[in-house]
Amino acid sequence: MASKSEDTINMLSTDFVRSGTKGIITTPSIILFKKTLFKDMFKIHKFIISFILMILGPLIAILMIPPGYELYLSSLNDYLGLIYGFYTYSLIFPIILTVIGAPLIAEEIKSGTMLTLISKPISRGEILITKYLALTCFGFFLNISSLSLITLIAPLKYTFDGIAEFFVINLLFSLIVQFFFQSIAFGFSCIFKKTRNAILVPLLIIIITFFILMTFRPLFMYMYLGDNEVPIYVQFQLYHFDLAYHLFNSYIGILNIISGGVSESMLYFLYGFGLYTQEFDPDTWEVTFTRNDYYSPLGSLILILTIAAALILLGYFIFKKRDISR
Amino acid sequence: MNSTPLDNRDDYYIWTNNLTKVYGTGEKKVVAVRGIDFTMESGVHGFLGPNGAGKTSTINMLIGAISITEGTAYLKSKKAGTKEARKFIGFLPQDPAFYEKLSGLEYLTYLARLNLIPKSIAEQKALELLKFFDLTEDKDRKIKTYSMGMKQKIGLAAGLIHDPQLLILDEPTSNLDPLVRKKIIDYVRKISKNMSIFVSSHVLSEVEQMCDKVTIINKGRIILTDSVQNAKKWFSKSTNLYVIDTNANEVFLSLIKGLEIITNAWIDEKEKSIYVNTGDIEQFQKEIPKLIVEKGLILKSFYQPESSLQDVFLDIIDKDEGKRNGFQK
Repeated sequence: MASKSEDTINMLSTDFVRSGTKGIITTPSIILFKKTLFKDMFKIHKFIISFILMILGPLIAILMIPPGYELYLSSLNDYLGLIYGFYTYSLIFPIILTVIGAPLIAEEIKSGTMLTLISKPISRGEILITKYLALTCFGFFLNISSLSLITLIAPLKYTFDGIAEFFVINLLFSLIVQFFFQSIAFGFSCIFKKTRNAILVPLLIIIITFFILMTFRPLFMYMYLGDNEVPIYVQFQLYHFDLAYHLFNSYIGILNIISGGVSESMLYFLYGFGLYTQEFDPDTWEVTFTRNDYYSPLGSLILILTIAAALILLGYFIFKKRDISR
Repeated sequence: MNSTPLDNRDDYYIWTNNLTKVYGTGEKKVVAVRGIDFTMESGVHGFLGPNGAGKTSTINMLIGAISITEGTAYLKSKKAGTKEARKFIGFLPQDPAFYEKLSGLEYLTYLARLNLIPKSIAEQKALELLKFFDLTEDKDRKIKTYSMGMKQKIGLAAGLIHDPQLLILDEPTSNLDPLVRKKIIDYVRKISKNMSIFVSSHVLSEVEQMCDKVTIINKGRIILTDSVQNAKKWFSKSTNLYVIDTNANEVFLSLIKGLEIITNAWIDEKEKSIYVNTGDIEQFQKEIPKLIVEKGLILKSFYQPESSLQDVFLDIIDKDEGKRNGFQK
């Protein structure tokens, strides 16, 4: 007579055959997508912290407007564009995408769970696409929810103009930022075996681009070597490698399409990213800005998209060929 | 040793031809698996070898975790490493890793769903397996709180969740204490009634307990594939070992020690019998009984002993490494 345990195992086989045709069969990719998005990313504390960080800067800027005070800048994008462009989309959003995206592949390889995953009927290509899509959804939802909240709160505090314009400009720009930084994070996640490296390299790129270069760029733009009358930034064509320049050059493209051009207040902001040269007339105390069109906005956008796509492809080929073991 | 006939690989659960794995290039090149050919039919097949023999590399090639440098491998006529092949295999890696923040039930349900089991029955199957492995009470606890033995049971359950035709276990008892080790072996034996199992191990006694057939691998080469019984017989024959018991063993030992046909003879202190190695079996079988009769001794027993797999394994590895003379594969 078979033991109870043997009966259980026998029953398992029969049950699967019998009821296997009843349920709704899905694909392993969808299951992996749901697990990655809802179990790994959308953890309530993780999302709340990310959300607060995303809105913190703009929210403080809105709350700081004294009651009854009349702003010099009545357009919402002119008022919040700087803080959104620099704080949210140059620092916080890329850092969140890196911290969430970089471990997606690297951590599974390091911990050994990837070995279990690839023994299931799902290809490595599907694993990558699924996890990338989950990261895209997380980033998009985080961004659109925080941007929507700010867009809704701002008019309650002050009667801003161009609310919809602000929303569309920043949404379009955030899509470029998201695609670029999540691709970098994901690409390095496939390239590096250690999670630490996969996070550190994109973080270094963010720090160099938005901290170190922000400090030294004005110097390079006005400093000359010897008798040369061309500034270092132009002489060595540093703009080719200046990620911030290309990102905000694309931003100018969006402003041109949505607002029909760059407002005066935006010039001061975009000057910091090497897109304009500032000249000060000490007699008239007037400041004039000259556009540095080393690249067209479309050219910069294509360059950014190409780098991001190349990193994803490189990561894909490395991951596909990688030997995975404990 | 089995050959791997090219024309009927569909009959085998595992079929490999010249399967080779090389890590690194140039001076750093390490050949882990050297063109191995072996087949696995139904039942429980042991894959035995010392640490670093190439067991895990072979298994990882079979499931597609690492690339095949040269040669081919098929699992039930599906090319190893493809999605089609992975559909009908269950796998427990050596030192398995888990999504530690999931509970046992969540983990098994997730893996069931990854194996295309409909949601309506995935959880039911997970619960049944948790019951089978005596983990029902711990089903809602996070895996990170599980003991090593519980984790190994969850790993086994994960390999079984989709009722695979072939279960591949890579050192399922490593790092476990003897009690848990015994339990896992018992589970494997129970499971083996319903599916074929390919189990790697360097623990000989376990393979002997679990397996019908065994493939022995050393330094990336297959040394032997046969049934456990045949492997033991093969060992006895290859060493030409006989046990003789008479009414006066010490006297008889002194009589045979000088004979040409005897290469070694001694009295086993435990069994009190004479153990003899011979270089000429035919002559040995004629001469010894005759000598006993001539000397007026009483023959109590005369047989070839059955070796343990441990003896077979150690002897084969020993010979493979050239420590003994005259050995041929």
